[in-house]
Amino acid sequence: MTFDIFLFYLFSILALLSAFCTVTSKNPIHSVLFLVFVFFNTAGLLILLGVEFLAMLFLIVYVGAVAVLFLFVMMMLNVKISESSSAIYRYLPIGLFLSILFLFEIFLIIEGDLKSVDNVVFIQSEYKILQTEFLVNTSWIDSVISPTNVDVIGSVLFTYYSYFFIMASVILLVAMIGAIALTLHRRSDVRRQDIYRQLQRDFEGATYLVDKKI
Amino acid sequence: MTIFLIILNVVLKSLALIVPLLVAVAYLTLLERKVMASMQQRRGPNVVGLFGLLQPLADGLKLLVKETILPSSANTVIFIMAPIVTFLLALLTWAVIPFGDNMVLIDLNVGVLFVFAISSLGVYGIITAGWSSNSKYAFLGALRSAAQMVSYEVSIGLIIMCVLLCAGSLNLTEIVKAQKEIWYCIPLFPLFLMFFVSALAETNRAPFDLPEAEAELVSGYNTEYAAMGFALFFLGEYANMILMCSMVNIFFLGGWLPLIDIAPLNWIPGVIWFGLKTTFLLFVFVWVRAAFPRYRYDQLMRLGWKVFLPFSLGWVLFISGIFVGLDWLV
Repeated sequence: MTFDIFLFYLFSILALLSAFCTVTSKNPIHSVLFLVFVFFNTAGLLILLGVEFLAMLFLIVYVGAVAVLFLFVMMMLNVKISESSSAIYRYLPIGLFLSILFLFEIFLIIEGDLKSVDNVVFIQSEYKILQTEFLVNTSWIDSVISPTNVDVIGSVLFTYYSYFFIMASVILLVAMIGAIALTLHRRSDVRRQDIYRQLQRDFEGATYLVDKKI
Repeated sequence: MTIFLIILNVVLKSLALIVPLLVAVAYLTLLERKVMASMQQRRGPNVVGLFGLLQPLADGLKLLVKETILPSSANTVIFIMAPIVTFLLALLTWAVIPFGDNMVLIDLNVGVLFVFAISSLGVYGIITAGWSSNSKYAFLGALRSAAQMVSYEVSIGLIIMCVLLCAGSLNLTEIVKAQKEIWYCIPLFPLFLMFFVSALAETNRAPFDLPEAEAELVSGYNTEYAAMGFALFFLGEYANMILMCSMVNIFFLGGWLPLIDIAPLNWIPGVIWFGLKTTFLLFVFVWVRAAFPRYRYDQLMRLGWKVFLPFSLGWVLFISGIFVGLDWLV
């Protein structure tokens, strides 16, 4: 138990420190790398909570995809290191306001929502009742019906929260179509590779005499 | 005292995994050189030791005693960090690979996702190495490499999803056990081929070795590295190759399961089967390198995004459709 607490403090301190460095470091590449480190520590915290599925998704989506693309763009754009310190103070009031607002919202969520989630996770609660009322002293049921993380999330997400799930996927679809629409503009003067036409060419078709009067 | 024993246990277990892995990497380089040599009717290394068997040790020693050079315009911290990260991530994934029945360091419930997550982090070592070297060749190599790995990860993810639908578990051990009746390479043959080709691209191997296209980019992202830094990249790359081969093995060739479950074949321990299959796949890796010319970059991207992605997406829908329709879901 003490080791868990030690890990919790380690991850949270490192996350906070690197979050601070993300904001303050001069070089944007360093900022992105610190951000990656924040994601790492957050994934560690999620594993400590016992939601290893979410932690892995966090790593795959944020660190493996989003931050890589971010880093990619940062390196390609060659953002200058400058950005003097006076600019930071200019952004300070609005940043402070937003972060206080965010903190307030988080407290609201913790008060209101976590309890309702507890009620909804029906498998977990049924399982607990089983364990406490009938089988207090045996732990063999643990190995028989212990729903894994993925099972629990799936059974809740696709039943109780299916509307949210569909809504999220529609939002993602819109974002995807938007990205494609923004980048897709066919120009006529670009010479394109057409694999099928290239493969179809043979000697007879490729060389021919041109009847041209000189 | 107990905490000391626990730590000793962890260290010994990790060493028992890492040391054989490093030996395997060393001899994989020898295998590559020997196999390529015989395919091109040469002898290959045959001076150091019997049949050149000590050649990898000599190479390792050479890299170890060479001078470490830090380019003066490099970003020192990231420059030193990059090879270490690459090597560490290459070793980390091996913790969840099951070599045999109950022969796994950590039996994670989300093993597949763990492997996928760590292998998608491998990009960081490469991209930071390229950027921090402050050299054009290294930078271009890193950009190519990162773009390639990110694109082929998409199709790899979808193919893994198909396998998961069939096996009904994210646990690597469970996936192997689900292939008791039939190896997935038979019902999912197209996916097997696609996964193998994606594995080639993911590990930056020929014919997709554009990141290190010697003629254009000297040596790609590790141009500026010398001595141990280079050796760590090399080790990481080859450890990743063996890892991808083991993943192909686990997902499609039935891991440690014998060829047919009959008397003389199932006397052979599972670990031997695992090793044999993985070695065969590694041989195919080398074979492909000796046999095929290098792809052009636009062809590579076309193959990843316009061929593999739609095809694997279609397979996900197809398999889930069949499973829902026939009520086969596990």
